[in-house]
Order: sequence, then structure tokens, then C-alpha cells
Amino acid sequence: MQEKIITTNNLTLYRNDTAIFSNISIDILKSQITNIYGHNGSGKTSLLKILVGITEATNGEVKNVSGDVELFNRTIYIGHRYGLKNNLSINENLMYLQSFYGVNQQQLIDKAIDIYGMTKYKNTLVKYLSHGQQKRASLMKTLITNSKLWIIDEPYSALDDEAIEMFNETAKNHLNNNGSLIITNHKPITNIFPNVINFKLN
Amino acid sequence: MNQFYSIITKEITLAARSGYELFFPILYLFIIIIFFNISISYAGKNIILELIPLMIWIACLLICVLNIESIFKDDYDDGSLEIFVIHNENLEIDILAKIFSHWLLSNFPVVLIAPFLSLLLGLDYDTSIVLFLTLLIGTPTMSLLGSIAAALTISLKKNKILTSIVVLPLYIPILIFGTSAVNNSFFNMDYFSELILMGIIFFIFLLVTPIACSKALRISLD
Repeated sequence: MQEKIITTNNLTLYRNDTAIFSNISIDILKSQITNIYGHNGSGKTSLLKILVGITEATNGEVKNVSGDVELFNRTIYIGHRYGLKNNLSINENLMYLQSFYGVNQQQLIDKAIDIYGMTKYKNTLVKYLSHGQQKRASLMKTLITNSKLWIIDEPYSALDDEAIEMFNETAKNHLNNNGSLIITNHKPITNIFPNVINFKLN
Repeated sequence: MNQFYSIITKEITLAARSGYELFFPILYLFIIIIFFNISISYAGKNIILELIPLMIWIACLLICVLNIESIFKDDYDDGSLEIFVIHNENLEIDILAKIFSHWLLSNFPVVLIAPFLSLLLGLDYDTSIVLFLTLLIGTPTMSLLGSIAAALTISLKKNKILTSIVVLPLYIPILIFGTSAVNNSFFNMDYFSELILMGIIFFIFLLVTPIACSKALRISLD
């Protein structure tokens, strides 16, 4: 039986008097990928934001049952907008974000940039990168601290096949180190990772 | 504390790379003062002299109002504000760092230039010093106040007027104390009580703003 790290209890979300979803109870397990999928407008991003803590659900609650009080503080969240400053280089962005987690290790940043194959663009300002390159840069955020929980909204969008492979590699390493991953996607994920929970939102 | 400095360094780097936007507040100040002087040039010299420090004060206040929405806007647009806010234990200190760096880059140049401008226009040394002191205490207070309004209105599309409407009535006491101190100094009267009152208002908002702002940010990101 896998260990639970987050439980939720009958989450309901209303926006302008319309229910986006109601009575969702989802458990996030350790060393598992939870893939929230559904068609456009089913509330995937909203559910993700509730799990992260940005949005408050109309009803229901999210509980941290992992026994690690630092779990949410060290969560890496990559949302729809990448959270990178356009006028800073990739290196400067990652250094600034690292300082938020109280970490100051340049070698982790260099390794992250190398893993995603962007060493040539280390000191390029983000505004000069293409959309896909910016997505790669935003995914590097997962590798700059040792966080146990990654919450990523549509990790595969805008990525080419090479980058998708890179991301899958890092995700597998993360799971092997007792990390957990919550992602959203358009369809269920099969044949890539050994332990995936596909959760459909209607 | 480390985070405090890294936020300020980041903001200064970003401002240095954003081109000539840094000079707009100073330009606005010069435009307002020059046009004011041109338009009242037919009045008597003693009236003009009395009005100049008050006009500089009003110009600084308007520049404050103009700049206040940009404090969180960039971060909201590119998604960094969410990362800034979620599960941040030191959110209050970080907000203070943001407001301080915003004040440093938008309002402080104007505060620095204002006394020289008033000397240039013929005012005496003491009044210029008092002008500088009142602006030095008043503009951070206005930044603190304005940032609460900015935090509440970030997610609105057409928030330009709303922020100003919310904030301007609250600026009136600061304006009254500031201009009263400067006017008293011009007529060689005592101005310390106004300065002390402005200092008290500043400290009250220094304590209240981080808490109010963090709540406002969490609400408007919802």
C-alpha cells in the first residue's frame, strides 16, 4: 500500500454560480504520478491550483498527511504562465528562484540547464527564447532544489520529442527518490512510467 | 534577510534592463513644474515663490499615483506573483522588499531632485530641506498605502482608475501634513509637529501594509 501524502475531501469549486466540479476526493501517493486529465474546461487547472494552495475551494479541504510539515513549502509549482522574468537570463532566473528555497548551489543550476540541453542559452534573456525553449527553462525549476512534490500544469505542451524525453527522465529519477508528481494532461498516460494514477475529471 | 536583498537586487537588475522607463518620473516632475511656472508667470513673485514647493509636492504625489499600479503588474502577468505568494513563510518581509525597491526606483529619484529643483526656482535653503524631508517620509507612506490598493486590483482588467480612486482620499492627510510643514518653513514657523505626525503615519503603515498586502494578494490571486 503506497503512502498517502495529500488527501482531499469532497472538493467543490464554483465560479460565478456554476459548478466546475463537485465532490472530488483524490489522494496523492508517494512516488506516484497523479495525472489529472479531462477535456478542455473540465477544471484540471483549477483543481491543480487548489492542490497547490493558490485557489480556495468553495467546499472541501486539502490536507497534508505526509508527516512532513515542509512539504508544501518545498513544492515546485509550474503553472500555465511560466513564472520566469523576461528581462533576466535563465541563470539569473534560476538563481533568484533558488534563493526562495534557501538554497545557493550553482552546480544544481548548471546541471539542470545541461539536462535540458540549453547550456548555450544559459545567459540569454528569457524574452529572446522561443516558446518551447521557455517551457524547457520553466521545467528546469524542478531540478534546482530537492523538492518532494512537483505540481506541473500540462508539462508536455510546447515541448518537442527530445524535451519530452528529457522531462520523462527527470520525472523517473524524481519518483525513484521518493518524490511525487501531480500533472495535468489531455489524455491518460500509459507506457511511460511504471506507477501512474490517471484521474479523470468530467 | 538574504531573500530581502535578492529581491531588491533582482528588481534593480530588471529596472536597469528595461530601458529608459527609469527616467519617466523625473520627466513628469519637470514637465509639471515647467508648465506650472509658465502658466502662473504673470502673478506676483511672492505668490509664485510660496506656491512652488506646494506644486512640487503635488507633482510628487501624482507621480506616486501614476506609478503605483506597476508594482505587482509585471509579476502577475508572467506568473511570478503566484510563486511569490504560495506557501511563502516570509511573505510579509518579501512584500516590504518589493515595495521598498519599487519606491527606490520610481519615487526616490524624484525625491532627490525636488529640493534641487526648488533651490533652482529661488526658494531658500531651509524650505528646500523641509521639502526633501517631508517627501522622504511622505512618499514611502504613499507607496505603502498604494501597494495595498494595487494588490486588491491586480486581477482587474481596467484597474487604472480604480486604484487611483481608492488611494487618493487616503493620500489627502499626507498631502496636508506635508504641504503644511513646507509652508510653515517658508514663513519661518515651526514645522516639527507635522514631521512627527507624518513619521507616525509612516510607521503605522509600515506595520499594517505587509499584513494587509499579503491578504490582498492571496485574495486577488484566487
